[in-house]
Amino acid sequence: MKKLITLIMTVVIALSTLVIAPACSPVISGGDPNKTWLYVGNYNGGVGDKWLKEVEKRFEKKYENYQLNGKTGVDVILDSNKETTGKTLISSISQSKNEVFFHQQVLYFDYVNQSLIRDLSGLLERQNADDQNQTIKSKMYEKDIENLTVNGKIYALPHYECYNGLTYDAGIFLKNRLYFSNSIAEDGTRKFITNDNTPLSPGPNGISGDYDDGLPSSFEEFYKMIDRMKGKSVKSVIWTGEYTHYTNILITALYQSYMGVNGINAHVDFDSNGEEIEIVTDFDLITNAEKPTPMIQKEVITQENGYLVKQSAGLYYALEVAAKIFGSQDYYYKDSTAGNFSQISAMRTFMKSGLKPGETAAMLIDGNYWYNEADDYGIMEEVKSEYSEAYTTKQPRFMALPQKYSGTVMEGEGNAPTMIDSYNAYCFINAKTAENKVDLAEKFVAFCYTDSELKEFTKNTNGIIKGVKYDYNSIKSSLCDYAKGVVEMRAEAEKAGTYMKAFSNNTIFKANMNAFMVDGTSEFWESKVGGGSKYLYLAVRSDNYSAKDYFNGMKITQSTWENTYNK
Amino acid sequence: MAKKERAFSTERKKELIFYCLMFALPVLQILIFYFYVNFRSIALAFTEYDVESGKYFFVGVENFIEIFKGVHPKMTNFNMNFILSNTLLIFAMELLFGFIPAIFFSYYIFKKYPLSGVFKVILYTPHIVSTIIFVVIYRNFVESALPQISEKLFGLEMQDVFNQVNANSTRFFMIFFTIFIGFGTRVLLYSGAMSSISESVIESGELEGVKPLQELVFIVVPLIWGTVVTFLVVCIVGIFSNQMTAYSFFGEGLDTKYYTFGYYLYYRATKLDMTEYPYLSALGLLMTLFAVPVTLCARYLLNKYGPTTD
Repeated sequence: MKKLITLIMTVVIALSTLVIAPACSPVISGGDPNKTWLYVGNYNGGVGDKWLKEVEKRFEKKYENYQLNGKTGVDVILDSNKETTGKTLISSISQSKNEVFFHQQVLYFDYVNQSLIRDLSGLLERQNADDQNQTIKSKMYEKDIENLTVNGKIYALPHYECYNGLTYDAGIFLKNRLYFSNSIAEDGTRKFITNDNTPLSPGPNGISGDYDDGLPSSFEEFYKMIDRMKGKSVKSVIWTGEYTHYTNILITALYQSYMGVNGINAHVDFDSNGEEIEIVTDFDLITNAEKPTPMIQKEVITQENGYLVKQSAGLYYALEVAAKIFGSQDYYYKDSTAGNFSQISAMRTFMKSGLKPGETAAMLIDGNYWYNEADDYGIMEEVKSEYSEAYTTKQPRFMALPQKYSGTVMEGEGNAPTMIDSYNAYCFINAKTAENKVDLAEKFVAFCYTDSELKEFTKNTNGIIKGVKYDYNSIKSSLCDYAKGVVEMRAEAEKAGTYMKAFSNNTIFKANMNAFMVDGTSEFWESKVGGGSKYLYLAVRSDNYSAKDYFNGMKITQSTWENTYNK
Repeated sequence: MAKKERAFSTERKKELIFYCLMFALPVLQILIFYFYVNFRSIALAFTEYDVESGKYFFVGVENFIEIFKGVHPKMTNFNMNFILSNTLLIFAMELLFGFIPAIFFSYYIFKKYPLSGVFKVILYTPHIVSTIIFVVIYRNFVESALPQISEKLFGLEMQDVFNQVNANSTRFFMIFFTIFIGFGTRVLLYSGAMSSISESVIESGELEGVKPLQELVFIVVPLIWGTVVTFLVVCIVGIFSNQMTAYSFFGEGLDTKYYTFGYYLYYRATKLDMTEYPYLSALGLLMTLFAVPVTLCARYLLNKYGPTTD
């Protein structure tokens, strides 16, 4: 009997291990043996693979008579997984079966230097009869062409754009009167709305009647807003505690918004093109000991003083806001600090926030892809069926963030939102692709970049924009409200030139990407406080450091710059 | 006779071919994964990566000098105080709470005391189930169940115990898990070694009125000392690769104050930054230069001054 129990237990434990095993190594299943197979790898993160499954159907239909090696038709075989990002793919791409890739966090120059991906220059120049004879290159942004060109060749195409930031719930904002009104108080500050019909302020862009009405137009107003939330027992933010780097997403978003495109260009190119950037030289601790005031000097950023990008006023202001939020539980949802509070849990809680009893969170810290991810996980449907009537009040919107520190933006005085993508998502072809399959792989890429497919991509991903030029505005009506908001912001940013990818082919940037990339986990955030922490959130919560301490710890000295970064 | 010799020769040839085929794969594996990888790693330590050309250039001992001076451009997040203290802390804790209790537990199982079989299963189960599953279970237990148990049973509020906010509790729970997850292996090894002890030795001890603790210290431990030495040596060799299970718990989001050498090297390598490989190789080589004499010395001392059956 004892032996039997031992045997059964052994089998059960062994089986439980076997059940897990397939999840560790995704198996690419075979396709139709009578057709030519095209292997396509895809990073299945927030943007998912629903869009690619749709492309697969249309491409297979279009090329149903494609002839190769005596076979007719094409079978696209998808390999979508979350485990392999562009960062990790580099070590396995030469063994990968996949011929076409769509990945994010791609270390482009390393792929090119190691000859891991094919030159796409010919494909990019080719006119596509199925796309009004346009070339793909004509759809690429000039800056991307400049950044991606290596020895006159381009090896990858921008895939999608994602923006770090905050999503707010317009329903909670309205119910709790968190919007700023159009009326100005005697002291020159804006009042909050008092009822549903109070006219809203024009928001950061200074235009009434659009997506950012009533939102804080300066960091001062942002503070005012989160304090009002606190007064109403509404938690300002919620995020996943599983990934500490999400706390840096908030700082990134505020920093990029304040710095604007010129400031971030100076950050990645170490060249502000003659424009002066606000640099914090010291702090005035006498006027207000509680709240140190940064002493600002304007500087032109060049290769010689590139270290100053870590002393910009925008960086300090962003840290200051984040330090306030992370410094007190009055401002954040209780589970946000728990390591088992996953991204999905954060999204679900945010979507149910205000609908169910318990803490209410007004803003979610995440990239704009979260909505699509939540939709793919069935969260939207789940919340809709659980709170059928109340769900109509749930209105998540991507937030346009303030671009100035003090005062307010008056009608006609604002700026278009700063939309900065730092996800490095690219489409490329494996250098190992068999010569007789290259044509098919290129056809697939060309197909994905036709105008109609670009629009389909945005439709099937809840408003994610492809990183090339196309008329995404024309499909706005078919999108959900959240996606519409993102598309409107992106369109305005493109028109005003306040859109960019935080990437550069500058030699210093390339040699020190981890130190200057503005993503949540990069060493850019590293400060000497707390022994070298790169999370302000932990420095504030764990060791009571202030934004000033953290900011001062982030500085790069001139000698370090000269001896290490700009050797 | 000649016919017999020819047959013998053919047979020898077949055997030789068989041996060659049998050894070809392991030898190839050693050549690639032992010699090539290590040779490449050592060679990398003396180079620098040029981002423009995508090539490595020989720079002599520059990387080593910069590491010693603490000015290497890639020494981000490198805080020697934290890294060294955490590395030594986990090593000491594993010795103190992993090694000694494991001997006692193994003895308990060896003596077949009550429920020893159950303990054996409980301790070994973590090694059959994937570590990452245990990480998830443990994390949920510490962050969700434990605070509730503590509040309901003892009225104690437990907050932020394992999310890096409270450094002491976070470190405690990481160390506890690391020791727990490795405990089964130790117990299995020691109890396996103990099971080879002749019953007559134990019986003669019992006949002479030896008490359990005396039996353990003066009979059992000396008889399994070879296994103990091997295990301690492995522990010392692994000083610089022990991660305190940090990557499984926090991935890239670990704060520097919890870094160990093992985590630091692993995490930096996962960044897959070509410019960083020479630095990591140089750092790894320095660690090897430190670990080798320490390990050899420890082995010598343990063998020389360890308990004997005399």
